[in-house]
Amino acid sequence: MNNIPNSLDSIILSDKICKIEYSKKKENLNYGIFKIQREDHTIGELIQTHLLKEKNVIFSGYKQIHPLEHYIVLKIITNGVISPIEAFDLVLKDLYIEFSLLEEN
Amino acid sequence: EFESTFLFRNIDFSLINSLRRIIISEVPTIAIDLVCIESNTSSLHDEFIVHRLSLLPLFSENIDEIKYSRECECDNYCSFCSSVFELNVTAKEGIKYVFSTDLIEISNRFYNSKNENFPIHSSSLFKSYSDPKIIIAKLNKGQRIKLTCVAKKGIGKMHAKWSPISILKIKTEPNLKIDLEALNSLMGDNLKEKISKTFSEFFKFEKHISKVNFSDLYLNGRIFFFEKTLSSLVEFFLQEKIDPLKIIINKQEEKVFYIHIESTGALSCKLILKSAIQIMKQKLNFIGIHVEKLN
Repeated sequence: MNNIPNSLDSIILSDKICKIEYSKKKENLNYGIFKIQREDHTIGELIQTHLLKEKNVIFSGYKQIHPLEHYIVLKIITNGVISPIEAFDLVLKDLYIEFSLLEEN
Repeated sequence: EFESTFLFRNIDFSLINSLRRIIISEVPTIAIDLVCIESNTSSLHDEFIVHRLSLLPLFSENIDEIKYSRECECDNYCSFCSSVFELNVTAKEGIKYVFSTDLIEISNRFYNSKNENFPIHSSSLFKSYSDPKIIIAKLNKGQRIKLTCVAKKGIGKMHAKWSPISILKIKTEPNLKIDLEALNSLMGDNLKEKISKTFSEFFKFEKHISKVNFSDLYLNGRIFFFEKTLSSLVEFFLQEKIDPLKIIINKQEEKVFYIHIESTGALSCKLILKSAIQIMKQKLNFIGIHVEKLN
């Protein structure tokens, strides 16, 4: 009867869904696809633009496939020196440090 | 203090954008969520009054101690995750307004409450707000409203009533620098006196050297060239037939961003920014933990 989707769907992570799923395509290239649940453009754009500034990352892009489905897909291609997971990790740590500096001021 | 501008330097735009999104939709506040109406004989129907009640800003500076209702161990709601208010107004003689200060907290009757929550215009608030009280409804003679309502914690994503801000403006302005030497060489003495009088906060005229210098306030970093002063400066130059481009240099190495926040009163502007940064860090942490698990 009611067409309104549950507003808590966009935020809460239930136990059945894992937060990040990682799939590797084309075993020889450093090509990683991350599917991150319950996140949206807020984090997606931030991580994507900072990945492009890394030296070893060739390609990075994110998209939210449908606005009513609350997950983003993040694609990273690196040149082989570091794996996509490590690149992701590096960027997250850099961002954490930047925000900590902001907080102090 | 509920309306302020923050200045950021040497920051990427994507950081500012994500902060903006978090301020609008993910900073938690308290708002009325459940209403139980006993009697309503006013001219406004039930849902109308409930909607107006839920949009009232409630004082939420101690939001960190309150849990979400869905995460609390109680059944429906308890003292750790909510607070109860009551509204009981009868118009005995003539027309009466129902103000937001008529909302009384009765959590003590239901459970031993530790929190002190009230609408921002409550008389028990120790700070005095200069804004007028908020009108909820208007009653004619003989009409009455009686209801109890429960306020819970939430974020803007769930419903816009939980958003802490009313206006948010983000401006990027290139850092413009004024070339003092060109200023002094291009202008005669009377012009220098004029400019130091009209823009007395920025410039100082020193008669013995007959030169214009920046005032102490500007050198200490207390005053910045905002858009309005720049435009009036340019007008001044144009009137005196001096080419403003020779004096104002565009310095594009450092980008300067202004965030102007007008809050509804639930949280002060500093708190909003602080909690936004904390929430951002929590999110990054959470994702980081899961990425490490993948390895």
